[in-house]
Order: sequence, then C-alpha cells, then structure tokens
Amino acid sequence: MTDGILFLAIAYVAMIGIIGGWTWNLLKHMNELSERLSAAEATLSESPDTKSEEE
Amino acid sequence: MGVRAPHVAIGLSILGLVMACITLWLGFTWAPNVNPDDWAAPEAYRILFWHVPVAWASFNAAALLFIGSAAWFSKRLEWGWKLHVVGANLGLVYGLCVMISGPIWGAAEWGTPWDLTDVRLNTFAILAGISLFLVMGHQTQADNEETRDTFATVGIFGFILVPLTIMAIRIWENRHPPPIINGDESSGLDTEILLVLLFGVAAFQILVIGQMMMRYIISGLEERLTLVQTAIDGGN
Repeated sequence: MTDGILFLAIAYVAMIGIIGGWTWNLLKHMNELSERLSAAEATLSESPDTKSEEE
Repeated sequence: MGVRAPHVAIGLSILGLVMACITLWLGFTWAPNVNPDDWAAPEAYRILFWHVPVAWASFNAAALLFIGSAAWFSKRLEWGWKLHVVGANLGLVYGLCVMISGPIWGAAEWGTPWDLTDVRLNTFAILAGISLFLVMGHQTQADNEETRDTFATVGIFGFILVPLTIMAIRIWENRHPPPIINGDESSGLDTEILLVLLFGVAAFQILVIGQMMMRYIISGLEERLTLVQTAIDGGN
C-alpha cells in the first residue's frame, strides 16, 4: 500500500512541477517582454530622429 | 490579438489550474476506491485523474502543431508558424507529463515502467520525442524559411502518430488498458470516477487554451520587440 501511495505522490509532484513551472515561466516571460517592449518604444519615441520626423 | 488578450490568457490559465487542483482534490476525496482484488496497486489508480487529461491535452497540442505546420508550409502564413511553435511547446510539456506519470503508474501496477512490445506506449513516446526535437530545434537553429519548412514537415508527418496512438489500444491491446471513454462495456468506470475525470479533461482544455494564448502573445511581443529594436538601431 505504501508503495502505491509513494508512486502516486511522485507522479503528481512531477506533473505539478512541470505544468506549474512552465506556466509560471510563461507568465514571467510575457511580463518581461511587455516591459522591455514598453521601454524600447519609449526610447524610440524619445530618439532625435523620431522627434525631427514628428516636427 | 487585442489589448485585453493577455488578461484573458492569464485568467483562463488560472481558471484551468484551479480546476485541475479541484480535480485532484475530488479524485482523492470524492472518487471511490477501486476493488483491490482487480488491481495490483489500487491506491495508484488515482494517477488517472491527471494522466488521462494531460494525454488529451498533448493530443490537442499535436493538432495545433499540425494546423500551424500545414498553414506555414502551404501558404507561408506567419500565424501558422506561431501556432507551430505553440503546439511544439505544449506538446513537450504535456507529453513529458504523460511520459513521467505513465511509467510511474506502470511500475506500480504492472511491476515494470515500460513495455517495448506495447504499440501505444511506443507511438506516444515518439510523439513526445518529436515535440522535444522541435523545441530544441527552434532554440538552436537559425530562424529562416528553410529551417521552418523542415520543422513544419516534421510537424505535419508527426501528426500521423496521433490517430495511430489513439487507435493502438483498440487494435493491438497489450499492456496499456483499453479506452475508458467510448470503449467496450468492460472498460466502463464508476460514475463518480468518470465525472471527476471529465472535470479534469475540461480543466486541462481550459488551461491549454490559456497557455496557448500566452505563448502566442509572447511570439507577437518578440516580433514587435525585434522591429522596435531594429528601428532604434537604425536611428542611431
């Protein structure tokens, strides 16, 4: 009986780790990219070339 | 995708995860025990409540991979390539879950984690291997039309393994149990077990949609970031 429960626990810990870890990484990567994109767009809008084009 | 898409993607993913946790809780507290005389490791049967839904999720991922690969290969559609990448990633995640939980359950129930003579086990292993190959390939190879064509071809032909894997337990029943839904009368489950299982299937379908949207949004963000960075570099 102990063996069955141990196998059950290992299987679920592994699956929770994989799915939870991957989802967390996905979320982190998405937020990171959004921030980098906002920063890059801000830099682009402040660059002299863009300003002179606007003028 | 619209401005609200990231919120929808995150919301669906959280809903899917919460439902998956509820499935686990119901599987451990509400689903009845199985007859110990019919099972070698009756406690381990509860692996089923996630093992089957993640297997279905991996088949859905393979379908996304096929649609994306076909769209890219036939018409060079950019969304097709993004879908191909999403399908490969999801296929790897859920394929890995099946490849870990299955042999653990097999070790408990059959006394051996793998049976090389069982077609279902082997075709699924190759399917998961294809996802691994594609994900590693995307990360290591240059992103150009030639490599995309090669990976898309693998994605298209790899999909043949999905119907083969599904049908394998009907045609060549060996070690892996017969289908529990739409199978013959002997494969029927208790109503409570079936309800928890179907709830789990719904949970993972929602989670897959949320994750698919998130991965798709990431591809779009990466593309936009490259364009903006190119514009900045060109400006300086």
